[in-house]
Amino acid sequence: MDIYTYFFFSYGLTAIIAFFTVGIILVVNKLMYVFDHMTSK
Amino acid sequence: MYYEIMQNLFPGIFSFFVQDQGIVMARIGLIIFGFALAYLGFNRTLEPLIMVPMGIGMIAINSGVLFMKGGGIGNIFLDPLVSDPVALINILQINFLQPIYNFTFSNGLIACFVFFGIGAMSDIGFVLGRPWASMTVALFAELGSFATLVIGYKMGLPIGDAAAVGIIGGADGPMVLFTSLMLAPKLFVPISIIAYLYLSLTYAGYPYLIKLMVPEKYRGLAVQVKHVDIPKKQKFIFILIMCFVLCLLLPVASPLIMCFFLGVAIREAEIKEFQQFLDTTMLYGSTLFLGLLLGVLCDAPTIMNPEVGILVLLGCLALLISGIGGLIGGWVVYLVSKNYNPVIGIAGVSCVPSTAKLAQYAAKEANPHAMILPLALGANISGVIVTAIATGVFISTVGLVK
Repeated sequence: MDIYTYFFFSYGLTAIIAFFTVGIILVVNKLMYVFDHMTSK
Repeated sequence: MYYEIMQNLFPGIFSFFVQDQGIVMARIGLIIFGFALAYLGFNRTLEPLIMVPMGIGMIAINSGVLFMKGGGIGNIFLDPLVSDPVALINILQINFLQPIYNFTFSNGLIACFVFFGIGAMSDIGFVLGRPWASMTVALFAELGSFATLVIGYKMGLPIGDAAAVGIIGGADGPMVLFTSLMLAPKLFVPISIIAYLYLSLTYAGYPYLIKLMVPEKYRGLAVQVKHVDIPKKQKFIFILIMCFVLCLLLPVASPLIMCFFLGVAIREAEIKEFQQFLDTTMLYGSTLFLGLLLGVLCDAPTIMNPEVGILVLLGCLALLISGIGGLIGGWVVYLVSKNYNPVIGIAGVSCVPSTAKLAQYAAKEANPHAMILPLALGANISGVIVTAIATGVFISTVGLVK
């Protein structure tokens, strides 16, 4: 892999992992909200 | 005979007359620089926690030079380059900082200690307030790391060295220590010195960059911060999940990730005894020795190494590009959502909490009622997470470059 391709590859991979982490957090947040809502009834 | 007596009495002074002219000039320059750093730390122009011990370390190492047995010139602080086990055991009994250097600094333990403390100080709730915006800004503010990797490689550095110096753009000292240990151990000393030195010096320059890239009208934008009251249980589960996901994806950076999230978890679990130990004793104890060791590593022969010149240039460039990238990120989020202050972008450069405070000062200067600190801290903590991800990506994939 040449250096310019690596620039986009590594930056892109970092962005994917970062947004994936945020996505997981939000999904878990939603699930916990639903769970809390159900158990409180 | 009198000359010999005087030489033995005052080796620090006499060494100036027998050393190479270039080294002597560098010693004098570094002593003056040490005075300047310590003083600028004292009057809070630069970060005092690092600069005061570092400045004093620089003064001491460059003035406390003596004639060693065997005719060489050296010091009794530490020798960072000793690697032979027998020599190391001998020197551990002579140089007073050698045990701290070998058992905490050169294996990255001190970086983990600092991360425990940073974690214990970080409220993950700030990230959860505006997670997409914080993460976007933090990604833009990582631009310096990736751009400097390319520039360094094109300037002739091996890819591992270019990645290690590039990560200075993440503006996260412990991460720089860790990356240089993994990818460029022979450059560990100069890269660490440059990272911390330029981190502090560049923060003195960032306010000017903010003024250059964000007009006053936008700097003073008041942001409506929606107060999201996130239960502690929820925050704690987030921390466990983030730790799990990031360690799973980036095992090479897992020691730092674990230390950071353990600190955050202890804070959220309200284990007061641990929290107090981490965010006071451990963090400040580690920072004191880190600053002192960095100062002591700034002896003239190390700084006179020709490779240091190029690293200084690249380190400075990495931080400059990251600052520019962060502010561009701030503008992008502002243009998309409107309810954002572009200045927050600088807080994506992840030195917790210095750059967040810089962003708040800049906003307050333009509008005394502007309160952007919570969002800036969110970007700041996201910056730490993104730098940890970038570190893991570099360490695991840098070998792909041919």
